[in-house]
Amino acid sequence: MPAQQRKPHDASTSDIRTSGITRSRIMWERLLRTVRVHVFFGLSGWTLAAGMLALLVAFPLLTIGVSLFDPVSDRWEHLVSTQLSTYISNSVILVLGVGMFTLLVGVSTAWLVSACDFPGRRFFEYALVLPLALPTYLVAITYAGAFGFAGTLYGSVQSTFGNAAAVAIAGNIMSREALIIVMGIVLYPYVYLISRASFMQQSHSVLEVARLLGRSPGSTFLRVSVPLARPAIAAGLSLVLMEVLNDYGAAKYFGVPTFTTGIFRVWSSYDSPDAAVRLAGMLLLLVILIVLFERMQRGHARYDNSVSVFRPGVRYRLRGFRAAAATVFALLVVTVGFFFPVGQLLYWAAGTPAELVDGRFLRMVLNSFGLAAMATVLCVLTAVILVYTARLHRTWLVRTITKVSVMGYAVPGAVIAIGVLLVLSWLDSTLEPLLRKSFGLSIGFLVTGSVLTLLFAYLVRFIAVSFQSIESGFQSVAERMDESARSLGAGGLRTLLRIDLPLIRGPLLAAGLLAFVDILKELPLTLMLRPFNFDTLATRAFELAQDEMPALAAGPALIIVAIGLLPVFLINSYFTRKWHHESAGTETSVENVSERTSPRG
Amino acid sequence: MVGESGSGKSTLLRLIAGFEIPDSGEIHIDGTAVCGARNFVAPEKRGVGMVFQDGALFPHLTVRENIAFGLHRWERRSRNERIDALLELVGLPEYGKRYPHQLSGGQQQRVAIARALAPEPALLLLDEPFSSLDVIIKEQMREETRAILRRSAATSILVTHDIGDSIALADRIAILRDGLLQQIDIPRNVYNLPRNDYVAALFGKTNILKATCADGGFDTAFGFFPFDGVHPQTESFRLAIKPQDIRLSSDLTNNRRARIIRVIYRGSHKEVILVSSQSTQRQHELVAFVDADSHLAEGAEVSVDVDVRDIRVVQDSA
Amino acid sequence: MRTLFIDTILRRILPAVVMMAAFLFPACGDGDTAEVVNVYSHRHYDADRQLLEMFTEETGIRVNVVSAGADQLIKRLEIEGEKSPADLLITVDAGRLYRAKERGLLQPVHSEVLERNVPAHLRDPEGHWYGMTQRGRIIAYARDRVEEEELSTYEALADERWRGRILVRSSENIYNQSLLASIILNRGRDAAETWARGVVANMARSPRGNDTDQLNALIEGAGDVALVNTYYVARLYEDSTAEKRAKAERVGVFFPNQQSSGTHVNISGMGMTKSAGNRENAIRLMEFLTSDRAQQLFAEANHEYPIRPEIPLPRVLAAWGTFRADTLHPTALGEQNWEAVKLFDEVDWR
Repeated sequence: MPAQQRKPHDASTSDIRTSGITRSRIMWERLLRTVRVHVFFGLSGWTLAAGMLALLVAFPLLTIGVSLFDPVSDRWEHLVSTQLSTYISNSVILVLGVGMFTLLVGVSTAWLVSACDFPGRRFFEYALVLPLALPTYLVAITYAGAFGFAGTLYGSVQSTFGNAAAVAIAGNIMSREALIIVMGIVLYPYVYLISRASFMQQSHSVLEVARLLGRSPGSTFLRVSVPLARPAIAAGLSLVLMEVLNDYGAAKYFGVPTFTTGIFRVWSSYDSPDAAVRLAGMLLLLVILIVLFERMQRGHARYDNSVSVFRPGVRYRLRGFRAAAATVFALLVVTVGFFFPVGQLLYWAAGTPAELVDGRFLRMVLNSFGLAAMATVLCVLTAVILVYTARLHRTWLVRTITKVSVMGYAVPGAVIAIGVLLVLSWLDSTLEPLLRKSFGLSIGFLVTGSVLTLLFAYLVRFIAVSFQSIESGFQSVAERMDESARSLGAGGLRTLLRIDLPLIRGPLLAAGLLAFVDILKELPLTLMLRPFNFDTLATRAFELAQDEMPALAAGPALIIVAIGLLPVFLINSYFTRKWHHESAGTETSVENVSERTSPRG
Repeated sequence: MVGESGSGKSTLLRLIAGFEIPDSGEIHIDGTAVCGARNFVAPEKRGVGMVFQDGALFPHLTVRENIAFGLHRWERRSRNERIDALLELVGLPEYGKRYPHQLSGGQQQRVAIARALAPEPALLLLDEPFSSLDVIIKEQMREETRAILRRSAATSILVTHDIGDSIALADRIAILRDGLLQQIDIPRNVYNLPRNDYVAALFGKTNILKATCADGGFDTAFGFFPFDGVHPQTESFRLAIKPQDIRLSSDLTNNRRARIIRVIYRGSHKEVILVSSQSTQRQHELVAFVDADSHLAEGAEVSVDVDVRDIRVVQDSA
Repeated sequence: MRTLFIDTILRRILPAVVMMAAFLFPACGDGDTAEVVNVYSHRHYDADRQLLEMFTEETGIRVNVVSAGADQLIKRLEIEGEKSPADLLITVDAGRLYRAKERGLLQPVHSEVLERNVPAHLRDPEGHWYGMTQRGRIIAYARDRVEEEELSTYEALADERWRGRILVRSSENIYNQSLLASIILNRGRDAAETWARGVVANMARSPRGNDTDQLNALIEGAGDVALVNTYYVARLYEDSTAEKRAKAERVGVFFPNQQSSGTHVNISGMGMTKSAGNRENAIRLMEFLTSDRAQQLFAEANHEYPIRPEIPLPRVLAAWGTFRADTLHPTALGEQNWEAVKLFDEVDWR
């Protein structure tokens, strides 16, 4: 009965069958309300801080978006009339292919290790995350290096399966289809990790009900577990798709023209960085579509567990053929995604004069590690401020700003670099005269070309990774927790530090570690923006690979993998740990924060 | 404060606490405007305590730490004394070191009340504090809560959809429907003098009868009811008659006739559903409770009698 | 568990990060007043690093390097404007230097040493940039399947007899663009288009991988001829494993167009930036890089051809003998670059 008599601003979110006049009145009231909320709450400092941070992060992206409105050059027209359709079709095929692949592999392995028992399950729980530590372009190189012409395994294939087979394999190892597999096998852990965490949080009573209603384990999985885990799966998938879109190294090496390789072609071959930025702007539109798609998928359904007491359930014990099939499948995935590429790297490293562990090498390790650590702290801190502010003020203004600021993940690093340089050099040129006037200092660039530039760029590029995880973490903390704390006299900061952060320390850790691994692997931003004489493991490995000497690149590449493994294991042990202790209270029956604008009735 | 879900009672509570901002109007606590046209006092500065439906205890803090949370500005010794006193008050002195998930639902709720009382709030808000408890504990918790609130002497607003809660606990009851206040009064008056049919119907089954004024009483579908009170001035009123106040007799002692269409055995009593003999329309139904051992057959015609004092004239809210 | 979590962050992790920051920052903003020269370089070879170290030893001038793709470095220079710290821009092809000059990012340098060391067709007439090394774009062929007599010119590769036999990398590669630009200049646009169409039709597979991948495919029989740069072949000949060296023996090297325009060469070069704050040091470095020692090292360690004909060649290069190089000026090639790229797109050379 209350549905018919809602307050006007309530109606605006649900029933849009109103006339134009009432609609505009509703918009007006909504705006008024937003203003009021910001006037009242805004001075708390959170909106100010979050707004500045979000703007700072969004600015480089906005400069890219604005380029869409620039006048069109003849080179752009040439691109549209010749190659653009190829870029679009290839990118779409890659997105669909890798999307399907990661969905199948990621979700099925996640379910196997979280709901079933089979030989080696404990091992695979860890091992299945390992590919996360490998940069995609390196995996592409190792496969081409193993099965390509004159590859490590070319001879073996030749002697076992005959020359024709060897030539056929070598001829197709660098193809669009192979690229889908390579990308899929490196990126599926995003889906695996996030959906496994979701499977493990699912209330077993719901699953047991399904079993009692006569559903088989498989059918329970498809009809109950997967639908319940859908937001998590979608979150993982959207990270995967953004990675696919911004990949440059692997696609270029395999000769598959995509949006991103196109951006670089336009930049370098067309000598038209502006057209490249414009192409990146179009890519951003594509990403917005993906994000919208994810939101629509979610719709108005609620996916949170309404049962507040969690109790770990009994696993399905697989036997005989099924157990063997599960083990073989998991082993195959891990081997293709991790052991094989690492094996190839080890083989190369062993066969080449080792680049000895000298001071320069140590310095590189320290640079990589230190930079990644600092950028990670920055990303997590910013993400926490943004998400928390959005939580404090559930208005569309805050929501929109935060949404824009996390788009950077899909944009190729080098394009972000342009935006970052533009913003920072503008900042520098406004700051410099100021400093010169007031202190008589003339110091050239303050931030441009320093480690700060890199940190800022990493923030723009990788905040999405930490944002996703932290946002979902906050969503699992009931708002009543915050409100309890507020009503007990705790301000925003104290509530955040004492209540929210301790409650989401799992997602917080995951956010940091995912960002850390990603930043450790990062290449194009680092290459373009780094200060003088500044090498990281990733840039060094790339330089060697770029010189067409992949064997020499193996050393630094292996170190990246080794350093990357540590956080990967940490993330994993967090996700593996039983939730028993916390989930009793961290609860769970929360509305989706971002969906709500109006007070509850 | 009583209302169905969706009636706006929780919103009102959240407005008082400062978690929502009103579109218009002002909120005053103890004479001070906490939300007016120009000022807005943040929730943490209002000195308002709040107890949520499921307690909302911080799962990562022990019972003591939960209670201590609002006492961060107190010095250590008085803080500890306060916590001990509160644990004593809610009857959980042994449970200070436990975590919330190690407590039963009722215990969690008591800790939640203790936590909210700790900073000595000017006002305590309780949002459906018993709704997540099962029936047996609920009764007990209601009593304990009453005792705790009495002892602490804190001004409290309790929101519930169960009129029983409010009758048992409250000094004054406000009834809310679709965001509009229906009545605010002491429990006795709410029960005995409901202002409109909605409030009347809150206390279990109530017959709401259409009637027109007649000399010395009202005309209804069931006939003429004598009435000695003041006649209502408006047209839109109804008569509210509780089922237990209706007496039926098969002797046909008066001209208020009804036919029994169903008799339902309820253990302590029988529920009889009647329709007017004059009208065959289903909406003119009357419910009466009669003794479990009375013999009334379905289809029988009876006369209806009601004591004049048991007839309430209420506004028609429809 | 418990509230210690935040304390852990505040007490342990943050200080660690701050220390890390303290460690990283001096690396970039070293304020010592020692003589320096700042280089943006697309070259990241070990030979270059050795040379720069030698330079520092000799002169006491420190060399700071950022290496990245030339296009990215040019964009960075452009945005940084007159405050850019860079003194010198080094690229692997003259086309990029031409672009940098067109955008007003370089300034002319006049030095007797440079003008003596670098032949006129390997430097900018106004001195905005100078060549450093050169590489020939040659036809590598499978000795067992192709007779040297069958090969003659780039143009002849469009002939039907090569159907399904040509290996070449993508048109995104500047060496290919530069080659097509030279054909446009030498033969005209229409002839160049016919040639590009012919080559695309003759490709053994759609372009993928790098030059070394083309050579490996050639060795294993996926194609019979490959368009590659000289130093990749030389590197293959000098491979550390005997097995690879034996396989490399199957590859022959042919310098095309000896009877006509000459073999196409790419020039790796350097130019002083407009913003250069260390002009003198930059000029000294440029001169050093064209010196006998530097040129010899480029040839020996990197198998690139020196810009000065009098520098002795290492064994591998010497074995190929001398060849006639196309002397089209890089500026002209740079001007035609866009035409070449358009052509590639039109004939769908990936």
